Amino acid sequence: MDVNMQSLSNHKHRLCSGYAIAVVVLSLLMGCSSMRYGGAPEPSFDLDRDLEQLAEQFKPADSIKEFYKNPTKDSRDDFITGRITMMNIRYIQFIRQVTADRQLLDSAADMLTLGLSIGGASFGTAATKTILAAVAAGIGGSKQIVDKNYYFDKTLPALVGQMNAERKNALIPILQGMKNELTEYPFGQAVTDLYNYYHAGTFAGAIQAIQADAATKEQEKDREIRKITPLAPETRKIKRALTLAVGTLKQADLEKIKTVVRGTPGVTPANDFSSALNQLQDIIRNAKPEDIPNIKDRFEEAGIPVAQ
Amino acid sequence: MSNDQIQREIEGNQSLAEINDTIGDEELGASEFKGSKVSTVNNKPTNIVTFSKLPPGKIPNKLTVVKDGTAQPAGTQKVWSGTMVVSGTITAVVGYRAT
Repeated sequence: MDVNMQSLSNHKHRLCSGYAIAVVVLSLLMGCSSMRYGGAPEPSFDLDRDLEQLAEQFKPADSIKEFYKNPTKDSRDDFITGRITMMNIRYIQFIRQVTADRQLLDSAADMLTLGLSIGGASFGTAATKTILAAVAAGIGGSKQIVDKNYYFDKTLPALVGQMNAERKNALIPILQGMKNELTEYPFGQAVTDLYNYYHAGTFAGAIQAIQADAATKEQEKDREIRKITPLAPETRKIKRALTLAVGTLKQADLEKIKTVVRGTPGVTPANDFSSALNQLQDIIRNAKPEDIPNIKDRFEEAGIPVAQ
Repeated sequence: MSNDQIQREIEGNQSLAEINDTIGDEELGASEFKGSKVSTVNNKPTNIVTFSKLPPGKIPNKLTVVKDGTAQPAGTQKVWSGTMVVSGTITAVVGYRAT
């Protein structure tokens, strides 16, 4: 290759590299924007500013110290409402950073609306109600700008979905508690329940819940035990004959065994004799009564004699 | 429950003769009766029976379950005793296996 050709080649290479870098940078910039705003334009309202305004309203009530100045049912409920509202807004900010799934945002926003409704009942001033209404409208609006056409990860939505579900569960004892007097739903219990509510909105909480759910499902699966009843005399004879036939098989019969095993949906024949033989016995062991004659046919087609 | 064991349900409406046939039929698949416990499924008492897997091709000697207090069948040895739901009634039973 001469010098000019080398130079042209290098130039092309630089152009290609530059183009590739530009595409990557542009994709990253667009990707960041998409992730932050759920694949939609930046919202016209400022959630951070709304949060600051809400914090001004709720901060006094959000303080444990404030409650003990006047430990009554009302101050307990004010504390709960303030803390739930702050948690809800911060939760929405959090999941907006990690996912762009509209349904997940909808669910989280519904929780905030519920929290704000409690707030509306507890904090009766006109100014507070105005801010609450504005934030509620803003959140409602934010739901509408989010659409399906953006990136989303398969695992993250599952985790956030779990978090939303767990938060709803964790809110129940709080809402029930608030109906009771301070002696029946003490402040300490409310703080504990609020912590649980917070924890339900974390990845760690979601993973714990998923693990617990998986364990429960595993137990339920264990409970799916097959019912057995006496076999018809002819089926009984065939089943016995099949097992006895298995007992006669040798290493040289591996291909015959694999032929029978291959006919069972979802089972891949093992290549070693011992494992394949176990698979064959499992087919007989787990067969439904109506399938037993068919297994006998498969044995015979594979060249395994079944003597009745 | 280990991988070498399987569980089956024998409904509590079966008679003792049917229970014996059912267990015997299950054992024809190279399984061996190990025990049974009374459990509740859909609010109905039932028998959850545990079998161990035997080596391929092996059928155990015949098992006979009788009501507790019944004479031991000849040529058997006691392998299990407990309770089962028999014809809808929780019954003390003993399992003997032919030797």
